[in-house]
Amino acid sequence: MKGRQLGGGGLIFLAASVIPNDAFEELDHPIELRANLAASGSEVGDHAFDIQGALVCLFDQTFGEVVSFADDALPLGARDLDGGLGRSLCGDQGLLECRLALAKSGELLLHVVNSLPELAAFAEQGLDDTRQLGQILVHFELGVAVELLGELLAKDVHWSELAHAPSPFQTSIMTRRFIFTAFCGWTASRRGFDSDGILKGIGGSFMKEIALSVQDLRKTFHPGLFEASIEVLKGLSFEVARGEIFGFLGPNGAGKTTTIKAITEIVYPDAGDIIICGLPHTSLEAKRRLGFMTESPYFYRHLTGREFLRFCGELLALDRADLGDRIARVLGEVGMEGRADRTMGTYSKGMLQRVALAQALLGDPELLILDEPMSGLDPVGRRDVRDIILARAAAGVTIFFSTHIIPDVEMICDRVAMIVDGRVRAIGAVSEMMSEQAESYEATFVGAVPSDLQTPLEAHHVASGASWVRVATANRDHLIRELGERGAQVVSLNPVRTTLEDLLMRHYEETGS
Amino acid sequence: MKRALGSLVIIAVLLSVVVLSEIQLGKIPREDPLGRELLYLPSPEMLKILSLGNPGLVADVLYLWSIQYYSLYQPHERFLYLETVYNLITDLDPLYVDAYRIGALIMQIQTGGDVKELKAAVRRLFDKGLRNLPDNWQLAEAAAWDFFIRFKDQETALHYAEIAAQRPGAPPRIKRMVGVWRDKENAWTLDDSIEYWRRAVEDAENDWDRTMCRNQFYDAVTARDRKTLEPLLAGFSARFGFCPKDWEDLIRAGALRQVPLDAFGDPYGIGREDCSLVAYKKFKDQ
Amino acid sequence: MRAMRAIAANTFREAIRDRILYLFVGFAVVMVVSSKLFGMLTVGDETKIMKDIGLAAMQFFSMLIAVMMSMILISREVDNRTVFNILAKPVRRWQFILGKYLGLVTIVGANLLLITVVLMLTVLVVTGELDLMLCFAGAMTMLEMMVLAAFATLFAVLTRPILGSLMTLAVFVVGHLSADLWLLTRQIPGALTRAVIAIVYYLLPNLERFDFRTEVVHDLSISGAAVGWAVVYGVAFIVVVLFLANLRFRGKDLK
Repeated sequence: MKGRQLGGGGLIFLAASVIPNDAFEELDHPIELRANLAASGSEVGDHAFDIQGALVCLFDQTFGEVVSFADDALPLGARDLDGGLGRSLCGDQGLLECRLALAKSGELLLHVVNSLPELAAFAEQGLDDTRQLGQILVHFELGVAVELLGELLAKDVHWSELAHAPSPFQTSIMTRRFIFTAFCGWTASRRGFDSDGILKGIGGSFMKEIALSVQDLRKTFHPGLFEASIEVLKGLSFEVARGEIFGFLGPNGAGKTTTIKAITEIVYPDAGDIIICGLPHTSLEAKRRLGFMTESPYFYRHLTGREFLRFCGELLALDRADLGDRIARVLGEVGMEGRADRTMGTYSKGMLQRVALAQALLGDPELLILDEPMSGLDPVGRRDVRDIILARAAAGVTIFFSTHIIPDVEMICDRVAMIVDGRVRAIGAVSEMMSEQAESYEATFVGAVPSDLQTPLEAHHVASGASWVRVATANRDHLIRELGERGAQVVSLNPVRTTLEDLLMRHYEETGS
Repeated sequence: MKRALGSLVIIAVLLSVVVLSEIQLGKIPREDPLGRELLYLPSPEMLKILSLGNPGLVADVLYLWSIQYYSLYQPHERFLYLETVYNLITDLDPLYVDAYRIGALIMQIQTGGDVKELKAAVRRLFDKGLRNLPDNWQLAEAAAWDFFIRFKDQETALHYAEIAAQRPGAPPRIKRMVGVWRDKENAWTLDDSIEYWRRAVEDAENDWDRTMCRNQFYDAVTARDRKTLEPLLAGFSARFGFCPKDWEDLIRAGALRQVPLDAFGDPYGIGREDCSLVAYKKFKDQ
Repeated sequence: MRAMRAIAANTFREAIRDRILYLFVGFAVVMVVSSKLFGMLTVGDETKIMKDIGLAAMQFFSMLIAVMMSMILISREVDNRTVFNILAKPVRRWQFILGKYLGLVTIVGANLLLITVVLMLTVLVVTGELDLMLCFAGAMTMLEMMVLAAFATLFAVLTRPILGSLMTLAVFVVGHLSADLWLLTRQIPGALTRAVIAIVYYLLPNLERFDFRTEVVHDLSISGAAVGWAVVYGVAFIVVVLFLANLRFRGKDLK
C-alpha cells in the first residue's frame, strides 16, 4: 500500500474505515498519535504530532491505496485550494465518472451540513441520479467526522474525491475545522472495508513520495544601479507528488521561468527550500534525476543533433557503452531519428524543441521539468509533445511543466498551480480550476449579416465575405437556430476562453476569500 | 537577362570612370619639396609603443619603405631627413645590420648639401651601428671602403679598418688591408683595389662574404672602366653632336673594337641624359 | 572531470566548424607566405623580414582568434540560454568555466601550431634551414595567448559579448604598452602617483615578458631564467584570472 500526499505538508493521518467511537473519545483535545508507516512501505518512520482537528481518511481497499490528507497550519485562508485525488484513486472507470460528473456539475455547490442526520438526508436525496450530483460541503468536527464516515460508508457511498478547501467558515486557528468537499457518486462495485480497521500509520510528509517540493521561494532581481529592484518571487510554495503531471500556469511575467531557474540552480533564490526527489536541489545527485527542457531552445549551430545528445550524455556521466543505444531510443521517442545527423543550425523550431525534449529524456529522469514545452509548435508538434509527456507519466515519471496556455494544461495535467505575481494563488485539480462554461461564444458564418439577426449580440463585425458575432452563452443555441433558419453556413463556433486573471478572480469570488 | 546585362554595363562604365580618374591623378606630379611625408614620422618611442611588441617588424616596414622612396628620386636634396629615417629604423631595431649599411650608402650618393655635414652623418650612422653590433666586422669593413672610395678619406678608412680587424671572425684580408693602407697611405690605386678584391673573392669563407666581395670587385672594375670609357663617349658627342645610341656607334666610328663588358660579363649601358656609363650590376647576388 | 573534458571537446568542435575561424587562419597563412614577397623588396637579408612578418602574423592572428572565438564560444553561450542546458545537468559551475577555457585554448593552440608550421616551412624553402627557434617563439606566443584567453573568459562572465571582446583587446594592447608606460611614468614626481601606477602595472599582465621575438630573429642567446620566470608569471596570471572568473560565475544569476 502506498500513501500519497495531496498538497501541503505537515500532518497526515489516515484511519481505517470504521472506527469505534471509543478510540476517539479523547479527540477533542490534543492527542499524540504515533504513526508507523513501515507497513505501508514508506520509509518515513515514526512521527508524532498534534491533532486537534478531525480525522478524515479514506481507506480504499479496492485500489489498495490509502489516500491521506495533509493539513498544514491553519488558517487556510491564505492557502490554496487543495483538491483532487487524481486518476490513480478513481481508477479508469472512476475517473470517467469523476470527471464527467464534475463537468456537469458546473460550479461548486455549497451545502453546509452541520450534523450527520442532515448529511444523510441530503445524501439520500441527491445520490440517486449521478448526473445531478453536486458537491457537498460538509463541516464537521472530529467525532462527527468519524461517525459520518461510517454512516456514509454504510450507505455505500463512493467517496471518490476528498479534499479540503480553504475555508470561508474558518473562524480561528485554534479550532481546526475541516471542510470537506465530497463528491459522491455511485459506483457499481460495493466497496468493502476492513472492519477491523485500525488506526493506521499517521505520518508526516512522505518525503520520498514528493518529487519536487518548493517552500517559500523568494527572489528579487537587482538590474542595476539606476533601476529599481524587481521582486519576482514573493514566497512561492507548492509540492509535486511522484508520478503526477503538474502544470504551472501563469501569465507572462508571473515568475514561472524564474521558479524553474531556481529549481535548476540557474538562479539563486534569496530564500526558500527546494527539494528534488528528497535531495537538496543543489546536489549533483538531484540534478542527475532531473530532466530539463528550456523555453525556446537554442543550441550549438554546428553540432548535429546526435553529437549534441552525446555531449549531454557525457555531462550526465552515462555509461558510454550503451549511450549510442540510449540516444537512438530517445531520438525515436521524439521522432527525430532520420534527422539527427544534420547540424542544428539547419533545424526548424519544432525540430529544435524535439531535440531539447530528447536531451531532457536522455538520462531517464525521475522528474521532468519543461518550460513551455509546446510554445511555438504547430499542432502536430504539440500533439507529439503531449503524447511523449503522457507516455512518460504513465511510466512513472513526474512531470512539471510551465505554460501560459490553458488548453495545454487542461489536456494533460493532474494538478495545476496558478501563479500570479510571484505567488501561487491557487492549486488543485485542473477540473476544479477551469470552468468549461464560457460566458460567451464567438461565431463566424457566411450567408447572413449580423444586422439581420434577431439574437442579441454582444459584438459583431463584417469582413469581406464572412461575418463574426459574439453572443452570451444563454443566447448561443438561439443564434445557431437562427442561423440555420436563414440558411447561413456556420464556419466556426468557439467559446470565449477566460483569461487567467478572470479565472483567478472568479476563483476568489467563489471561495469568498 | 536584360536587367543583368544592363547592370553589368553600368558597373563597367562606373569602374572605367574610377580607373581613368586615378590614371589622371597619377599623372599630376606630386610636389614633395622638402620630403613633407617625412615630417610626420612619429618618434621612436611612440612607434615602439604602437608596434605592440613588434618593433622589429615596424623597422622592417620603414626600411622597405625607405628603399622604395629613395630609389624613386634622383640623388639631390630629397635626402634632408635621411638621417632621421635611418635613426628611427635603427632605434626600433638596433641590430638591423642592413639598415646601417644601406642607410649609409644612400647617404653617400647624395649630391646636394654640405659634404662635411654628410660625412659626419655617415660616420654617426656607422658608429651607431658598430656600437650596437659589437661582433660585426662586416659593417666596419663596409665603412672603411665607403670612406676610402667615396670620400677619399684614407685616414677615416684606416680607422674603421682597424676596428674591423679587431673584431672576432674578421677574415685575413682585412688585416692585409690595414697593413697596406698604413704603408701606402697615398698610393692605393684602382688596380690595387681590383687585385685586392679579386683575392678577397677567392679567399671568401662564406657565401655572404663572397657576394659582398664580388660586388666590391665589380665596383672597382667599373670605376676603372668608367675612366677609360667616359672620355670616349664625351669625345663622340663632341664630334657628332649627339650621344651614341649604343656601342656599335662607337665601334663604327672606330673608337672601340668591341662592346665593352663589365666584370660579370654583361655589356655596359649608355646613360641617355648625361651620356655616361651605366653599370647594370644588381645589389643582389647572381 | 568527464564533464569538463566533454565541455572542452564540445567547444573545440563548435569552433572548428565555424567558418569565421578559417577566415583568420587563411589570412594568417597568406600573410606568412607572402612575407617572401616583402623579402624580395629588401636590400640585404630577406629572412629577417620574413621572420618578423611571420612572427607578427602569428601573434596578431592568434590574438584575433582568441578575442573572436571567446566571444563566440563563451560569451554567447553565457549570454544565451545554451548554458542552461549544461548547468541543469550534474555539472558544477567551475567545471563549465574551466572546460570552456580549455576548449578556447585548444582552438587557439591548434591555429598557432598551423601558423608556426607554415612559417617554418616557408623559411625552410627560402633558406634551406629549419629554424627551431621559431617553435620556441610559437610556444611563448601560446603562453601569451593563454593569459589573454583567461582574461577573455573572465570578461565573458562579467559582461556582454561585444564589450567583453573589446576589453580583451584592451588587455592585449595595454599588456604590450604597460612596460613602456611604466618606465615613462617613473619620471613623474610624487610617490603616491608612482605607487598607484606601480599597482596598476603589476595587476595587469605585462605581455612583453613573453616576447622573445628579437632574440629569435637575430639569433641571440636566451636566458633560461627569463623563460622560466615568464612561464611562472603566465601560469600564475592564468590561475588568478580563472579563479576570479569562477568566483563571479558561481553566484551569478543567469537570465
